[in-house]
Amino acid sequence: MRGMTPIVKTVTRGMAGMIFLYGIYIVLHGHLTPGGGFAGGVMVAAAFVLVFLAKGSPEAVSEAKKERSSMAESLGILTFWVLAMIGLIGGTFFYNFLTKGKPFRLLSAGFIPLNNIAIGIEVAGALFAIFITLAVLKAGGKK
Amino acid sequence: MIIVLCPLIVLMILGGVVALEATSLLSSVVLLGIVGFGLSAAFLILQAPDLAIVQIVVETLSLIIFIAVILKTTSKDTSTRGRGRTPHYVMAAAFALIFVLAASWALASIPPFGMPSLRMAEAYLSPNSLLQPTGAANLVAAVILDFRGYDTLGEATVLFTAVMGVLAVLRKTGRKP
Amino acid sequence: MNLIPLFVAIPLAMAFVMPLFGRLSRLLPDLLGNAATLALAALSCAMINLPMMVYKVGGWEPVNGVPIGIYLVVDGLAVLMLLIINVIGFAVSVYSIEYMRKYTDKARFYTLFLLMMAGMNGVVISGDMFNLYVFLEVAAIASYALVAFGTEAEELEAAFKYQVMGTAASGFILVGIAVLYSLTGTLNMADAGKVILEQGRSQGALFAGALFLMGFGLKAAIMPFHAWLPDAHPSAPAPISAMLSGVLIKAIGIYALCRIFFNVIGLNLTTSYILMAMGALSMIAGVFLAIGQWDMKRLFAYHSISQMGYVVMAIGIGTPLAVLGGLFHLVNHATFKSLLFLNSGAVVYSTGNRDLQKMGGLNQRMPVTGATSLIASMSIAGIPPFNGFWSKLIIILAAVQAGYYGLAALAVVGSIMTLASFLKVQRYGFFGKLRPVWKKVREAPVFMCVSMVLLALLCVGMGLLLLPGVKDGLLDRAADAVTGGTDYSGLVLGK
Repeated sequence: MRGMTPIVKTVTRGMAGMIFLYGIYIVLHGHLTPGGGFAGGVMVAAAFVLVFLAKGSPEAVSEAKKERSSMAESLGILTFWVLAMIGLIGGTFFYNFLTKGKPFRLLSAGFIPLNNIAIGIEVAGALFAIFITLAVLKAGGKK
Repeated sequence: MIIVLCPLIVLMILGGVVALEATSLLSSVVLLGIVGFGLSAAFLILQAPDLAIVQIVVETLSLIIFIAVILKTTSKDTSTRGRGRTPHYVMAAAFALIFVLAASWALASIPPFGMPSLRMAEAYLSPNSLLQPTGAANLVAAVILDFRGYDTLGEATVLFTAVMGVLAVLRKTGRKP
Repeated sequence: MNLIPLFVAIPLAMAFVMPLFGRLSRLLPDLLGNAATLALAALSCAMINLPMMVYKVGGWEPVNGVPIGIYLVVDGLAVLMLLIINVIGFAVSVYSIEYMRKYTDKARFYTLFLLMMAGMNGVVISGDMFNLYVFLEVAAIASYALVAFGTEAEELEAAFKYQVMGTAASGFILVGIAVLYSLTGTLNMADAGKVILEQGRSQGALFAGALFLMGFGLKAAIMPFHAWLPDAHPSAPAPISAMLSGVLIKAIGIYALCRIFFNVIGLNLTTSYILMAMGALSMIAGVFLAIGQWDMKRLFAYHSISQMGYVVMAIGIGTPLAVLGGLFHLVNHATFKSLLFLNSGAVVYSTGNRDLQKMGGLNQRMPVTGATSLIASMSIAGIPPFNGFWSKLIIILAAVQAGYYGLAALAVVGSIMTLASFLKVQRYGFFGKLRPVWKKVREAPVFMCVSMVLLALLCVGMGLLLLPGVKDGLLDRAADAVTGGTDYSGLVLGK
């Protein structure tokens, strides 16, 4: 992969962090404002993709990165599964076992914010893994 | 609402048709962007900001991935075109016509959108819903992550499956020598 | 503690764990995968003879009698399907231990395999239309990737074709669900059935029915919608061909068709006739297309279309006896068709060839594969006392009893043609003179043989399911769940 022009690189340096933070914000406030794990996760993945496209070098994309982002994805969805299973052990599958708290607070709505975070990690890992896979495929060549 | 929505949908359909006919894959993908971003705008008009956000970011990212792949491989559309395809067009048009006629005949019997509020959703929208049993201020989050959290596990699994499928299909060698 | 969610939770957990730990040891993927399928098979056997169960996910109780959460429902039909999915799944995963050594990346194979199992189990235990769709997609997407698992050009092409058709089918199903949702205001199948019954069947319900017929018809590969199956099923690795032909088209095609048409929308005479016509067409055309094939797996794939035709026709006839016969044939087809595909896999594993014209006399070198394939061939052709005979007999008797003499005659013709084409398989493949090329061929490894023998025993023994005591517990209850029709609502929601 070739990098892009210095203009793009400079703008990316400033933008990527903000896109990443905005993604995190969307994930964390999923139970209060529009958005949630899916939308925020895609934004986080987009921040990574942006950096890779702008600065990309042959060393940047590697099999190891693909495996790592696939593992992040597995960990995210496994967390979601565990949150559902805690409910099953306590009585019902997907039972909202945490205290609901006061509405409109960041720490409210029981396990919904935790679910959002788990899904956010899963989605970010998933989309970045797809991107890396396609990049590696070209760099390595199939067959 | 409907005045904005109708031209938008027509634009999306046109974008889809032209994308199919474009000779360069790159212009095809960009035209598909019309469908995606148009859908996002449609969600916004229908007052579904959650969906609009997801749609716009997914559309952006998939557009980037498509373009990155096309720039690295080829933008030539190698499918056969021109002669011998007329019967396909006729059949597709006939199917579309039948489908639209049947749909408009059938949808006449369906109550207008949101009136009365849907049977299942009534409980989610109950007057004291601000203090939902779930405690979430965002109604959509309450529905997708608590009332119907099991569905969301399924959807997350769909994405997981898709990634596993991509990683499996794009292996360097499939069979051991 | 109610264990229904475990049918989905166990395979999902193993699938999620596999990418994390699958590379640590070469044995681990086999161990995790087979442990999961064994647990599922045991769990599904534990479901036999339990009363109908309704599970409210998340503990959401209905408000004013309207369900607001997702229901999981395990009734007689679901128990039957769970048994098929998980028992065949276990046999196939044991078989894969040896067979998948020929491919790379076994951990990912088991991941996708378990995701497919989770998807099918999720479809069967779901009592909610949208939930059914979500798990149907999980199973379908996993199967697209598995068809292309060998990553050769031909396999990728078949998988692409399958994926395009499958996505079109999913689109029809999703639109159908949307229409039904705006019509009834609920996604719960029992509740939707109740509302449709109260409203009377409107145009909207008919339109949704047509969409479901196209969508699930494509998934089940019934005749006008069958074109993808003869490419997709033979291209997959043999264990996956067995799963696709043996289980997947039933779980996400026939089962969902039965559930929606009998329990939610309610069957009327027109739908009945359409199902009978499509079934009879698949039954006859499928077998005629099959008999000319020389590629063993392709021949089996065409027979899947034909045998599914029997099931759809019987379900379309709709009398209690016909439905019983149809469901029994569905179970039997799952056993003998998976066994046949596993046999073809054993032949490919040992000889690297699946062209019948190049085979011959393999019985001498591969006695276990030869014997089990003979049993499977006799079963599918309907030779007594193997299981296929009993179910075809019931279907033909039911057609005669209901007054459809033409359909009964067609079923007999189809059966004779099936016998002819399997005589061809046996004659060219396993009997006759051993060719010099195959002198050094060895029998398939032990795990593959174990799994084939297990399925062969099922083929021989399943006729016993018709014995009076056994029949009430399993087949009768499944048939009751279908013929009970819209009583389903009352049973699930409670009067």
